Amino acid sequence: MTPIPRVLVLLLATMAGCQGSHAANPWMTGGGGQGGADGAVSDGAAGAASIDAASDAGDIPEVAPASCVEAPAALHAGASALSLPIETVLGGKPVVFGEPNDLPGGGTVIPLNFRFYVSHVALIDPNSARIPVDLVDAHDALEPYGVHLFVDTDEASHALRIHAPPGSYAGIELVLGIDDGCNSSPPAGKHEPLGPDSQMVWPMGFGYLFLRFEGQLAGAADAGAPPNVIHMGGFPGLLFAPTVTITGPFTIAARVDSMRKVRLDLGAVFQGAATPLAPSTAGTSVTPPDDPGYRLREHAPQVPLFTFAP
Amino acid sequence: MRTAVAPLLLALAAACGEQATPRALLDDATPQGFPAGSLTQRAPAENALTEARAQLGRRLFFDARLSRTNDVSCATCHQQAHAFSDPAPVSTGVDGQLGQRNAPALVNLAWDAAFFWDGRARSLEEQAGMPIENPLEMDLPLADAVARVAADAAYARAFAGAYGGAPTQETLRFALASFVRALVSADSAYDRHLRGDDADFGEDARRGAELFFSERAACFHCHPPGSLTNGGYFNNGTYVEGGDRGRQALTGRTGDLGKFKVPGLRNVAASAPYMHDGSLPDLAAVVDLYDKGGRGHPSTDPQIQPLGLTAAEKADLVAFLRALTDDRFLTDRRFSAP
Repeated sequence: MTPIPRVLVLLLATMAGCQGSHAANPWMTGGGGQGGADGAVSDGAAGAASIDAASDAGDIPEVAPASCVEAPAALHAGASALSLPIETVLGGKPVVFGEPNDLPGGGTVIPLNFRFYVSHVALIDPNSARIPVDLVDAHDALEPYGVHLFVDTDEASHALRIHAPPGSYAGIELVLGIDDGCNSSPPAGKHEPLGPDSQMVWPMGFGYLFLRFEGQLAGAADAGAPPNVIHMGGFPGLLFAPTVTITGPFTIAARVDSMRKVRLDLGAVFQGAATPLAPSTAGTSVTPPDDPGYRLREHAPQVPLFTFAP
Repeated sequence: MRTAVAPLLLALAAACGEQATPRALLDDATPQGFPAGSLTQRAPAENALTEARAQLGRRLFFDARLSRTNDVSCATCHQQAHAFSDPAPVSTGVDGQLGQRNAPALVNLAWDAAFFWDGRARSLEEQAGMPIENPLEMDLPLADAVARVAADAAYARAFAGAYGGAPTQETLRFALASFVRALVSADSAYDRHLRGDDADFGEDARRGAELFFSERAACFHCHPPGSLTNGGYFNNGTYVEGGDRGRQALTGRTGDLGKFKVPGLRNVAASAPYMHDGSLPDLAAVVDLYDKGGRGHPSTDPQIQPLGLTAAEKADLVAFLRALTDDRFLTDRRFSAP
């Protein structure tokens, strides 16, 4: 894979501002990191721009005019519905947002602000084929822009709902974030969940955040503390939202609503955000930014962020 | 001769026509970078925004009869020259009583989703009646306010025209909300800069904006480009032990201690003093507080960290904040006392 040009890393480094990265951390899996061993960027679900498009002259690369359709066309009109309530857990216990939660390594964390985008949901059939589905709201209306925003303080947002063909499936694939078309288009004039009040809007040219976490740590030793600020985003035309998979069998009934509970492991989020990335070994000797958000973006496809609840 | 006179006559007629017809309170101005929806689109269905309703609300806004003592109006604490905020740290209500929080500026609230420093009102319509009934502010039950208004024939006609009937508690709140919703500021130097006109956006403001929207100062974490507020609640380091608990008083959540609503920043230079308690006298003090990383309470948001700003950088930030001033808004007679 193409290594990251130095200028791009420097640009990304200016985006880093997070606190709480620690060495010798139980959230880490080891010095080599879990993914992106050469420091290269893994493609997300959408967007075909190559890293080579980054200009070594230092300019922000030109991005083709992006499209971000507020009212996407339904893929499965009149199809069956599957609800996916999301329970956020930490150390196997349900997370209580806004309150102290025990950290497995000792101490507590109070999630102060936790939100993330989900888009481009697809079902995985027994033959591993991907079947894109419609993301809908609780009233079965298509989610604007095909995007769902999970917000800690809004319990109604703690469930995904999709319209899909009935049948038996082996898993779900989703983009933890938004596609490049939406990430490249300005938030001004957008409705929820892509408007400026989403708290996911970052300065012009840098796109949106895909996941935002801020928390208050107490009693956690430095060596055992997770990052208390995780701002995971991408870069229009260059760095894309990660695709994650939830593996496990389930069935969508015909003409009757189905449900399958999902668990989001906050510990896995911390793990992904705390695990260092290996320096690039492809000739540039550039070290990826020491940024929890960047690390999480790189590790997200590999860490078990989402699982089906038993 | 006739060909020279005709255009002159037409020009004179046009000028006379302008003087005879006051400019509408509602217009299509939309600040740059705001969420979708025009001014009228942002109004709720049950209180569609009309010129008549906004004008009625304007009269009520400046009317001290809405207070028990007949000497406090909404405008007493929300003064146009100060972006409809109060130049005092906290406001003085009936009988000289002091309020508990700094009166927030009323600017571009059509695009906000919650109101008051703790977000306890979910609409302008809900917010409008609360200060009238608050014992520290205007201390008048809404039923009594309605009775006073209904006894005024001019108000009775205005309510009939705007809402199709006699004044009620609901339509009184709705009218006030309509006026506040109409307070749009869209012509600051920053707005013009976003439209491509940098004539009044100086180099110091430009450097300040770059710093403001960088990870170095990280102001944009709460004040994103365009709207300059993400509508969230954050503990920005102003909380001190035993102080105003902010949103926690509403939600009871441990993590909400000291959290207050992120205000928009248009016309911020006109709305001193600052923060929920009016404890910071000027913009330099605001920048200093953030440069220090807040007041040091453990509940401070982890994003609030010492910044290590130079004196020049602080001055540039203040210059950018000054570039958010829309002088037309501060003196627009459409928003002044009728």
